[in-house]
Amino acid sequence: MRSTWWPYLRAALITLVMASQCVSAFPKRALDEAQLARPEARRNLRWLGRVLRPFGERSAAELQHSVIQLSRTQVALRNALLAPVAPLIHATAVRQQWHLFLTAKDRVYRLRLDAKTSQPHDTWHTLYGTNQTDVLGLAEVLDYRRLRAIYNPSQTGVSAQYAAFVDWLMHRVWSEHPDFSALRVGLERIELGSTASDHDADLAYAVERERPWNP
Amino acid sequence: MEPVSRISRYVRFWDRYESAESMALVRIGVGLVMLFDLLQVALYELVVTLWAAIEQGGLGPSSYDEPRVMFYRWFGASSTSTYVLFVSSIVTAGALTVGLYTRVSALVLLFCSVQLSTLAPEGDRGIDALLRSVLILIALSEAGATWSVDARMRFGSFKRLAIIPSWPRYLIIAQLCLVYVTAGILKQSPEWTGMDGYSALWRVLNTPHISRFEWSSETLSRMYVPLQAATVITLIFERGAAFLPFLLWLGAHPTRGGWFGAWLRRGRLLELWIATGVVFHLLLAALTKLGIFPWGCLALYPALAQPRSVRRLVYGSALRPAWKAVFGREPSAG
Repeated sequence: MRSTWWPYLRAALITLVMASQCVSAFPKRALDEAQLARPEARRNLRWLGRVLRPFGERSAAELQHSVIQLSRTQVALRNALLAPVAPLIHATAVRQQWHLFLTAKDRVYRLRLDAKTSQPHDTWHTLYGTNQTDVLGLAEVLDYRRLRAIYNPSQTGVSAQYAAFVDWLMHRVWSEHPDFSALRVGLERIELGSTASDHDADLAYAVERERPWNP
Repeated sequence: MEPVSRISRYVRFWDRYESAESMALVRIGVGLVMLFDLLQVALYELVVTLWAAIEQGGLGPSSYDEPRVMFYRWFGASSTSTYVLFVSSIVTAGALTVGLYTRVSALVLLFCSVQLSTLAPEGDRGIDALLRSVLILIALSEAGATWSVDARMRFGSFKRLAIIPSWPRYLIIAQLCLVYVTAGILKQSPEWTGMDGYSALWRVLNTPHISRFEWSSETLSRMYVPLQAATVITLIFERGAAFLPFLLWLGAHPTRGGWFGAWLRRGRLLELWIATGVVFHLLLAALTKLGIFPWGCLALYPALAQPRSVRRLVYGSALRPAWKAVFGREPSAG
């Protein structure tokens, strides 16, 4: 026989789960002055100023200060509301922050692997450049999403595992091709909209090593 | 209306039952996507690289001193542990796909996925978190009630007319809405707005680490206007997901919603939204290197279908010839 209280309890639990997930979707970091200085934030502030004008004139600085305070309050409220279910969220590694494709900026990067042979006066030859050169057949492995996340720079730069990734890549290449005397891994800078080639420009995050090398 | 009856209606909404085909398709899709992703790791020989302790040749951040996960604390941070964890993930993803011990498989796969995500936090993307939240719902549902080995073992047939609770499917729909709507709202940067001429997708295709192909600047210039249009359509599609529950409700209640509902139904907005989503994800899969992201999202789309529609599609006339060609006999629901 079905119990009469179970549907009520289940509905309550489902409501709790949905509410916690919706709260979890709110920003977990408060806005700061640097973020509000971006063009899109300035535009939104101007819009907000126009909407709030009937309730009293505010200067841009006052409005910015209010928005930052409100954002801090929202983050504090979010964290307080999620505190009871935080162990469950941690245990299941479920999150609701969906930043999909937010960072299509003016400067992008291309992973590059260059090598020198032991011949005298040899210059760097590109063995791998994302979507361009793939002499050693590394493209499928390096394009794999979990690996790409390590070397593809975010707004704050490359990940903490980038140095270990470079070591791993060099080790993998040298174990199969010991004839290379030196290897160089880095990220080629590309300015979108520019027709100039940056291939010979300095590589960002470049690491260069010569044989013999023991990681 | 009395407040009590509103509560009763709300409770009854979460107490609905339906046949199991939609959730079975979600289970199969999620299992296949996770299995494919793990098999890629094996194929590229990245198991140790991604998840082993630094001393064993892993990229970190896990180490002997800081094993980071429960599994390594229990069994040691050896490469054997890494392989046991990895093989457990593959076995449970396969078991989930075929519906073998479905609930246990979903829970063990969830546990393994959490361990792997903590061992390589940089490599754990949004799609992994999304699939984990769906794994919880699969474990709580009866997604293995049909089209599964479980059904074969318990009832003697892989397919059967099983009646299961609807609420896990409703929560998957709510999850999809939350993903799309928040992703759409957060797209406020200039390239996603008129401030930079809706150039976001043009920039995406210019990004070597994301774009599948190296497009010439001439080709991308020619594609600029269609890509601007695609950027706007992406925003409308994502933010439009806020109305998805309403559109689904209208679809399930053909006589409700008044003239506005009738007008929306005539416009086939629900079908248009779903078709846009399918095309959007297929284009992402074709043009970008986002891995399982588009396929993982598409794996959840069967939750948008009423189980009776899935039954009609599979057992009805549309797929009868294909079914007969594969199984050698006419399909039957029972």
